[in-house]
Amino acid sequence: MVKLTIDGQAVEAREGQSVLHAALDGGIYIPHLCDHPDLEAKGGCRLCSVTVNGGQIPVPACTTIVEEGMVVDSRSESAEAVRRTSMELMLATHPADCTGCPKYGKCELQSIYQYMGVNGQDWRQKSRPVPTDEKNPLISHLFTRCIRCGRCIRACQDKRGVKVLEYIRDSSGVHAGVPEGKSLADAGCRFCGACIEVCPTGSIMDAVGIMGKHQSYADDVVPCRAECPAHIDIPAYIRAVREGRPGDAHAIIREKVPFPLVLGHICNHLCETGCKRTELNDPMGIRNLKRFAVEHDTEQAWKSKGFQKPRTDKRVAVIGSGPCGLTAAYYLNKLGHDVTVLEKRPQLGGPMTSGIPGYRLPLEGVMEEIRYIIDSGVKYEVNREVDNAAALRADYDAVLVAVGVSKGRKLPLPGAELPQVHTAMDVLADSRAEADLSCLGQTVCVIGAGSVGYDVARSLVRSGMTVNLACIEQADKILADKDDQEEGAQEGVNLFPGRSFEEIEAADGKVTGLRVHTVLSSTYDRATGKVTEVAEEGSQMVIPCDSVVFATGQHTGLQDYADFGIELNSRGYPVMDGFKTSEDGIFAAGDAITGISFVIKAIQQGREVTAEIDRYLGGDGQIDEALVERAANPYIGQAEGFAALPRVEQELRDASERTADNMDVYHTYTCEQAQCESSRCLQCDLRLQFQRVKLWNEYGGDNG
Amino acid sequence: MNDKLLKLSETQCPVDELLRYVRSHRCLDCGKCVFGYEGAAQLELTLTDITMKKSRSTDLAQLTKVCRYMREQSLCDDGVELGDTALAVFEQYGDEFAAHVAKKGCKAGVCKSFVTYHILADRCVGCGDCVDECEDDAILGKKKFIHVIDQDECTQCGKCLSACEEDAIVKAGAVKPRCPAKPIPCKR
Ligand SMILES: Cc1cc2nc3c(=O)[nH]c(=O)nc-3n(C[C@H](O)[C@H](O)[C@H](O)COP(=O)(O)OP(=O)(O)OC[C@H]3O[C@@H](n4cnc5c(N)ncnc54)[C@H](O)[C@@H]3O)c2cc1C
Ligand code: SF4
Ligand code: SF4
Ligand code: SF4
Ligand code: SF4
Ligand code: SF4
Ligand code: FES
Repeated sequence: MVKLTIDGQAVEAREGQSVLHAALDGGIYIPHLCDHPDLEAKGGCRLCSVTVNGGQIPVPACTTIVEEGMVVDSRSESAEAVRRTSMELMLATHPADCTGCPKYGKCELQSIYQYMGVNGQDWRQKSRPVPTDEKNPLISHLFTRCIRCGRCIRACQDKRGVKVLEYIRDSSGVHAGVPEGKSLADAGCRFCGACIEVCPTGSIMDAVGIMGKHQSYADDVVPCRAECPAHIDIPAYIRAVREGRPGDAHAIIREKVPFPLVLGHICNHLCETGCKRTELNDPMGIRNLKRFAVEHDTEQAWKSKGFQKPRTDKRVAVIGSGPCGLTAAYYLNKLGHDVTVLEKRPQLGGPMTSGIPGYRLPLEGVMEEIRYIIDSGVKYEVNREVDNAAALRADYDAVLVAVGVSKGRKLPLPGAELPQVHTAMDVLADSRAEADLSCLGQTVCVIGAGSVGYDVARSLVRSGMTVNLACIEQADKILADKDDQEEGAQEGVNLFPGRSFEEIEAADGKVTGLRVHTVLSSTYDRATGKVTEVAEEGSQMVIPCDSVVFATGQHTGLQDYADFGIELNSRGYPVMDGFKTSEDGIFAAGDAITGISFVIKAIQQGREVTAEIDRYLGGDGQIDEALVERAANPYIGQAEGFAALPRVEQELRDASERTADNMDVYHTYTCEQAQCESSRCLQCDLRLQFQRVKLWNEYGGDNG
Repeated sequence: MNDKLLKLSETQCPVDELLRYVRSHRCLDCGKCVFGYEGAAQLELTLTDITMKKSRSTDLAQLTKVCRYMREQSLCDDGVELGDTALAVFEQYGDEFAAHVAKKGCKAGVCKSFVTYHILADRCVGCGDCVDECEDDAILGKKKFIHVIDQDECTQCGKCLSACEEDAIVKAGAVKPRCPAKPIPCKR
């Protein structure tokens, strides 16, 4: 430690520290602009001028290193004069009005000149207009406001090693910029945002519309992580994959979810919708990289990490073993509670094991992730249907209702009660269990072309049946995603879009066909549940079939019980207050309260309800854990053709090959593909490593 | 320090020469420090105004101030040198700078705004060639009359100078030739 005096105050500084940072760390504000705590000090602006040991000629505090016994005066007349003149000179050529500037209120320059109370009016005034450049993705350049501090240049050159930005001399004068008038992409920019982060003025900004979409600054900067419902640290795991550390990647994912492999296959990847890469070309293959990481983790080092709290004497019953129930069970057990999962089906997992078909999600993978939860100490009973949640309170301190929406719904068509008419939930469960499906006959009509409808249709194609898939939506409004539609068509699913259903026809009590007519348009009123349609005249037809499967929605099934013990609304969903039901100690979460959703959403619900239950049981609700240390090298260097790197897709197996079995239709990334794909990431999180420069009003003392 | 600027000939104006020196100076291409770059920019802007008869009374004091800071606070020797040179030029040619700022004139006759054009009465033959050349209609007189330049209209473009085959048109700095106020008939 070095002891010195700054403005009459005793200050302790680190060996080699600058006088400026010794002062700032000691709570003494000295104006500074070209200095940034994470960049090499240059001494260009002289706002930090101080006199040392009674000397007359001011020196920049940012480039002056502390010495034992030094006496520093930032308020001396000569230092103040240099500082004022420098600021006046800068302002003389800076746009006069801050109010139209996007940085207004967050600008370091504005903050300092207001603090100093100076203007540039004693000098010749001149603007140095540079056309605003908003043609680059993600980054806006407004160099009319550049004050040539060089922070962006130092960040891009020294911190990132990308070396895109330079001092540019053009007819307007000198400013930061990209040489030779190139676009950022052509110059090799990696869109890391470091330049935006360090620019003290409104010269380099996030492009219009990029910020302000999320709750926090960090969320805006790293939208993939913000938009993942479980907030998995996506840039960190992509980095681990790129650096050849799939085990670390798996651990990072595990910090937030106990079903990485499931998600790597079938997650609806909201994260990709937020990905900033989309502004350059296509989003990152975040989900596919997840699958790659899990499949290539040979060490499973995460298993020995993470918390396990001492046992409490509390017992919790979890009704339903879908992703929500199992996630809650996993974390509640880690919190020390005694957890029992009660599942009505013969196996655990909900749709993960009895709904989603094997060609999308391999059963062994799901089972392994479920087994880990069970082996960690969670008790379970299968074939145990709970018909009254309140009754369980006699044996358990808390009950979680995580029953999902497991009951299929039929439309009220004439013939719907025939024995050859089924729900998708039942057929998918049988199909997944490899049960006998001969009761369906040779030709099947599936009603409803959402993702569940496609799951049934494509499963039955694999059982050798002829499948007709009919829905009321017009062909361009089909609910299932594009991959499902394309791959289903390739596999031979016959689509009948824009059809309204009249009757299931039968002879001798056996289904013979589905009578439909074509609709030109239809509208669905969410509030009343009513469909209004415009029918095409004379379009009636019968689609011949031996059986009909309804994929037209699900419900909780709770209203079918005489008294489930908690208050339900008219649609059979628990009446909720957050995660609390009407009964003390009975909680509900997952699809059972949100309606049909997605696995990742159900997992996040499971995490959140865990915290709530733990607090109810006297705990602190803390389930965050770090399973691997983070270390991100900010020196990303140059990468040829970076902006244009194309998205790598998983290889799709041939249609004929993939209908011959029920195996995954996609091959996982090869190591090379994973390397290519992970290298496309902009590493949006890196810029958060920069310290934020504090403005004068954030320092204590009498600086005003 | 640039010594050449301290050894100017009669036909060189120190304000103009310093301005040229500033305009070609490295500091204006660099921008890495405030005193070097903005100091050079103030020198350029202010000296330009001075040569154009648009100076303010505070100009010399302000330039002296900024040059002292350039000498003291520039990031590299280039800015120090420029401040140093400018201060030396101010000192050596103080009278010339003062004359410019007081809008009295440019002794060397270099600064266009201070230069006036005149038609010498004893040389003009009243041909009228100069009238055709002047785009600002600043030349008065008809054929066989001694032509006169209306100083209020003249923009000092100098085009008339080469139009006159009799070399009757001349430039003048601080000392002006005697000329008629209005066209009068030619004696020649
Ligand atoms: C066919 C199909 C395909 C899907 N595809 C995808 C996909 O690709 N991607 C995606 O993200 N999501 C998909 N989903 C949605 C996803 O599976 C659900 O959002 C998620 O499983 C909901 O989790 P949960 O735990 O809340 O409920 P569920 O997973 O539904 O679990 C509820 C569990 O409770 C059991 N249960 C119900 N009532 C009782 C009772 N009274 N007593 C005991 N046990 C009971 C059920 O048998 C079930 O096991 C799909 C769903 C289906 C049906
Ligand atoms: S960059 Fe800062 S000082 Fe300049 S106009 Fe914007 S807010 Fe004002
Ligand atoms: S590489 Fe990063 S720091 Fe450099 S210009 Fe691009 S976004 Fe800015
Ligand atoms: S763009 Fe911003 S960071 Fe870069 S030199 Fe200009 S003011 Fe400084
Ligand atoms: S580029 Fe990478 S860090 Fe940025 S949003 Fe996309 S996945 Fe996330
Ligand atoms: S003094 Fe040096 S660093 Fe400063 S502007 Fe001039 S040449 Fe650049
Ligand atoms: S902050 Fe020290 S010279 Fe700019």
